[in-house]
Amino acid sequence: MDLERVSRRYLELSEEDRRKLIEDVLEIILSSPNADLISDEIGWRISSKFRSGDLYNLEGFKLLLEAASSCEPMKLERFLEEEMK
Amino acid sequence: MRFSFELVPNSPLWKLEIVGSIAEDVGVDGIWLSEHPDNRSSILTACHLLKTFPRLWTGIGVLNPYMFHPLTIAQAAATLSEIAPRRIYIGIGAGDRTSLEKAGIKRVHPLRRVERCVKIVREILGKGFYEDEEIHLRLNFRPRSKIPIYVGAQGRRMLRLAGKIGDGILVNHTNPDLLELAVNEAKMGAEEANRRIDELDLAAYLTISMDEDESRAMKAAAPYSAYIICGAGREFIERLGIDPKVVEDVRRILRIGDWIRLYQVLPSDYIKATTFIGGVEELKELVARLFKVGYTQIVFGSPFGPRILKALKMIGEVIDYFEEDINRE
Repeated sequence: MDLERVSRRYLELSEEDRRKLIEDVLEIILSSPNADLISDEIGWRISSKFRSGDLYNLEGFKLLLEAASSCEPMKLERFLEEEMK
Repeated sequence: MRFSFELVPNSPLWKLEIVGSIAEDVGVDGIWLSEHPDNRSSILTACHLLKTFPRLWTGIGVLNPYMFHPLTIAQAAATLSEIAPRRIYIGIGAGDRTSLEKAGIKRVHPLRRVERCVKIVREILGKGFYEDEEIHLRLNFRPRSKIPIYVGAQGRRMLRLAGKIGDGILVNHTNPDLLELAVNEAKMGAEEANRRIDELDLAAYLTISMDEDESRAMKAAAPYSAYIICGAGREFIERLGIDPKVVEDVRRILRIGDWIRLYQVLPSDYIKATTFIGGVEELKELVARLFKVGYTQIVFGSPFGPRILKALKMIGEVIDYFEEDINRE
């Protein structure tokens, strides 16, 4: 995953589309049966940001990418390929 | 009319915390935590959720008397009431036969064991001690509030017992016909104890899998359906017309955890008969039917669906619909 390219793409999106992108990556994480592969430190940071409403920004997005690449690397790759088109 | 979620602590606590936060947003009142010996402890998970979500109650459902001594159950419940007075419920039931067998425990005399366990826990929580010819149990502290005891039930005799002794009943069915029959059994049990059924909180503990794509919803529900079928009594299997040979096959597959084979062996009719598969409108219909026959709480249980976030939002729509209905009235 080219994090810089993905981040650039994120910044090009409208506020609404950014939110949707973040929810889609969060969905990959929440629906994964492999959540134990995500480090607890990252997991707690995601939860804390989600609960405070602070997940919907570039930092939150990067955190979610890191988590999703730990538990569902193939699924994330396929998803981002679609999004980058 | 109350709505709650059932969470299975098979995910890290941070993930349960996120789902708990969504639960608050979609308007449920509480969270039941299922107890399985191979997952995270429901009691410790309850401790975390009660501290984190001051608006939600938490129920531990269900603890079985084979793995948990009544004193341990009372001790845990009373301790949790210090964190969250009036927000802790406990469920007691016979436990999942498959999980108990894996641990080398035979589920013998389940009715007698559950009845005795409820009696002992209630006395310890109420009076601080329990004594009979065999045991002398005491807690050196008192719970900070009354702690309702729910009985988890599925078979006819357990449902009657639950109606007799429970403050609430967790009816472990999803099939609407079986849920309707369960109300009658619970009523009979309540009447035997000179109680009215409306003195109890009657909770339908549903296994839900929602998605627009039915085949995906079925795939997510299949392992849950398999555990339901394998843990059920003969009466349940017969009522749903399930082939006992398939039950044996599924039991073997569960023992080795061969999920791919499970999808091949478990007929879709069986999955649909034991879990809810559908969308928002279908769930509204089911919930309306359950309230009409006397249920007072709907527990929306795992797996929710192949896409959890989406499924939880769909459940939220159903809750909104009924809450608006109440407001209209």
